[in-house]
Amino acid sequence: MTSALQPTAPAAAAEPAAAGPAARPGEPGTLRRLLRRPRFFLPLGVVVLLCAMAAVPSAFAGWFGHGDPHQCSLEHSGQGPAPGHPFGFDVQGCDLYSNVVHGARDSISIGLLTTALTLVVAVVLGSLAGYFGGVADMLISRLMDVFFGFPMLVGMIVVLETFSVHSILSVSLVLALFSWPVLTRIMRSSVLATRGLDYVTAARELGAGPVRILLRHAIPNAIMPVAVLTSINIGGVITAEASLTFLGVGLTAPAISWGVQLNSAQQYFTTHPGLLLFPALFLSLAVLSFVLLGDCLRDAFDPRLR
Amino acid sequence: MGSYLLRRVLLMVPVLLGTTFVIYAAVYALPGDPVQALAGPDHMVTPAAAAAIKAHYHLGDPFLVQYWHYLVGLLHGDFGIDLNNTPVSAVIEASWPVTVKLALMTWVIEAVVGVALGFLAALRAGRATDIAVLGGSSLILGVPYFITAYVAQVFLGVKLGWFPVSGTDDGWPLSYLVPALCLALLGVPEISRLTRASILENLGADFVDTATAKGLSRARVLVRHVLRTSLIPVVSMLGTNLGYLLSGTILIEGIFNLPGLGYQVFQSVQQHDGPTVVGISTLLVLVFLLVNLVVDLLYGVLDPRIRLD
Amino acid sequence: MTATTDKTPADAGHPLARFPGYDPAAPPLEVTDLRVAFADRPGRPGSGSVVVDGVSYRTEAGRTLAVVGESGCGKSLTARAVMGILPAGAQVTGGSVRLHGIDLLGLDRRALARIRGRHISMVFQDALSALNPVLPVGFQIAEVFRAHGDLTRRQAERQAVRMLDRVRIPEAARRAGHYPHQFSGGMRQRVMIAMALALNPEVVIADEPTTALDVTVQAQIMELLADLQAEHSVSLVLISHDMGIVANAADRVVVMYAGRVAEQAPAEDLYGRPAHPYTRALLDAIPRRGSRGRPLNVLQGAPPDPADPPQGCSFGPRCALAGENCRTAPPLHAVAPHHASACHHWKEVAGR
Repeated sequence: MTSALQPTAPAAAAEPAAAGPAARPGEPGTLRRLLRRPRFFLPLGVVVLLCAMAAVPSAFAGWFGHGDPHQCSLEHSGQGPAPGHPFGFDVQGCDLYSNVVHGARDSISIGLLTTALTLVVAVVLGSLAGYFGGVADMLISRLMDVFFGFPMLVGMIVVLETFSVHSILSVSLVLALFSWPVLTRIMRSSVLATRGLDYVTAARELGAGPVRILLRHAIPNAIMPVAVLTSINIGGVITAEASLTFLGVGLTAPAISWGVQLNSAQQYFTTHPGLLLFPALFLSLAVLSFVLLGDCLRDAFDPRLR
Repeated sequence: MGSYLLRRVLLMVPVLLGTTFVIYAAVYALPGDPVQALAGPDHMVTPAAAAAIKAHYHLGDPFLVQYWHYLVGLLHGDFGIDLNNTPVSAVIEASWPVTVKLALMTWVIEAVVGVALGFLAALRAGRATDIAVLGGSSLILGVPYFITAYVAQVFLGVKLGWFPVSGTDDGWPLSYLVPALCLALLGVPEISRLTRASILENLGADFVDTATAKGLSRARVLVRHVLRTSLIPVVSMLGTNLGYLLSGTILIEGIFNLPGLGYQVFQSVQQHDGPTVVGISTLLVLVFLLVNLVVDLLYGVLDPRIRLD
Repeated sequence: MTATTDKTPADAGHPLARFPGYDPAAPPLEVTDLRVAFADRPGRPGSGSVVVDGVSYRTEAGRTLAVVGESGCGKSLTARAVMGILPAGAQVTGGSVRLHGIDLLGLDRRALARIRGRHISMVFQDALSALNPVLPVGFQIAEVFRAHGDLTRRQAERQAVRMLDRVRIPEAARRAGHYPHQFSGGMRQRVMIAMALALNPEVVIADEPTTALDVTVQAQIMELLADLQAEHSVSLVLISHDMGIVANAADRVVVMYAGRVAEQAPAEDLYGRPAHPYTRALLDAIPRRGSRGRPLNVLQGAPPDPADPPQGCSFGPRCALAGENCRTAPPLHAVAPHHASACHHWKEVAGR
């Protein structure tokens, strides 16, 4: 090579400004830049609002009227919007608005709890399989295959049927039981990639034990692709809970999740479309926000993942 | 290739064992009188059926022995008998055509609409068409499809009367059209996004410039070089989707009263008809695994860089 | 419309005769005052920084014209503008490109498609990414024949095998069914050459055809190109940053710097009596026999950012001879017959 010119060659070969710059993790200002994009801050705002609604529903439910979802009178059964009751009443004569607001708690709790459970399982099993390989990897991978191949809804229905209590906890457990492999698989390949990196090898050569390497080096560096998927996962879980409950095998009556409201609205839809419309609207808004937020995070922090 | 196939088939064995075991355990590992537990408190089981079930499933034996007998039966193509003393295979035979028709119709809609939208969006990247496709697909992803299905049933079926409300009395394709469209809403956004991303990636590839420099027409460059290469990951996703569709039609079959496998399995769960649940679930798992195997083999054909060995 | 009136009985038989402006006596390729600019923001191509700024050169049949310069100097973009395959955002903002008198920039897409591959073709730098990974190489070569002729699939594939044989790929018939990743780097570049020369085009542009290859393979590829060029008196445009390779192959050399022509001259003239400090610097950086153990005279600094070009001579900031008059951009001075330099101080450089 006679090219003594290469070292002075410019990197700025006038790249076309076609692709927007992807933010890099850890780069200062990434979050601030994200916060300036409507694609990010709009869903984030909705998510924060809904989470606040789930945490303290009474603060939101009372905006228009009494705000008590259990204060019902049958004389109002199925009535349309009235002063103090912007969404009208359900068949029991309860204020629909406060019901929908209180419904946020169960739906979002299940979304968060299930995703937290999934995340823990994914990080533990994914790290074990990815870092140690061998028998651990084989067992965990086959177990993932089992749950991947499973007709998920069928499995969840069967397991839920054997439970006598359908609480937030039991529904979350069942949802987590069937959704852990997705994140675990990503965590596994992510740890697998980190394991081969030079500084991990260096740490091993220096005599660091596997636990220390995992906690100190491998997991913190491998967790990003999994972490950015959690928001999308929450959206999926909320839909799944609503589907199960809509079928009548998820949460049941005293609970007031959006799924429960949809389930009971089914038979009255033709006469009282609002009963289905408002919970569906909130449910869709919640799922949409979590998914869009997750999409945006994923694009920002992990452009390699589509 | 041969050894790859063999290895893949062998790998399916533990997965199949695992899934049947989980389902079997969930259905049968209940305390109390097995037959009554199977049947549930409200279900009247004739003494003859009870005896037949007891004998068939070796209910007197420990759980693992029962499971073993069930597996041996499965290997002989015996899916067992249900609570009404009819073979589960007969139930399957009656309901699978419905699910296959629904799944295939959905799949074709997904493939055609998804790829077309993705292609269009990629060619118009950054312009109105693209933004509309992306925004529309986000919106569709946000609204759970069972709500769409329910609303579609009420409006298109009940209010307007354009389509059958439910059931399969009007046969294929009329009875399946609305359910398939609603179910396709689940896959279209995914497929169109993947197609768009994949085409955009390839549009900027060097080999596209080469094809243009050879003097090929724009249409030929797009179809033969860009689309051909971009569809590889899409075909893979479509394959996986077919697997999910064949085993994931419960909600839609339930809403539209289509007596397919999903509908049947849901009914059976509610009637505590364990044998049918286990039988159909096993079949669904098997189909899912086979479809995925075919997809992986197809991937090797479509992308010569992938070597199956 | 003008195509019919321009047609004269003498050259009506030539396939190029149906295009407006065809003149068999005109240079095979003539680039005049070509300008290319990038978009300063997405969706507005050509509005931003100018990366090719008034480049002119012409080729002769059977001869090799080399275009040299650092990466980013606009040599590849000039070639891409000629072929009509500029990257997204880049656009020709002025000048002309003529193939035997036919204005390529004025042709519509369909007419251009009939010329590309048939009368002018291109060999790309990285054959691995320039070949479609999922189509057999024989098929990709056959496409050229099918796009420009009424050949059946079978006939075209037979022609493709013949081309693979001509670029000296052993067992051509069997190799035609293989995919690009199954070839070595040198063999892949041969496939590219087979594709570019399939229809004996008048002009072939080779964009750094050997950069990605080993030194021994480089020589083989250059030799192959020379042989094929001689056979059909192809006019070759060789784009390179390697003054060593250019010295052996070129009849005429165009030196580009920051989107402009710095110097152009017959090869012996340029190597013997460079008249531009940049050319000098390039030549000084070639390792020679006897230079072993001594540091090479490597040019310091980096080329200007096209988004923020300096006032006056773009080479000024890196030039030892730069003076007051370099505040104005130098025009091309005629140094000798067929030899031009864009330097105010060309006499000092040439006289050194």
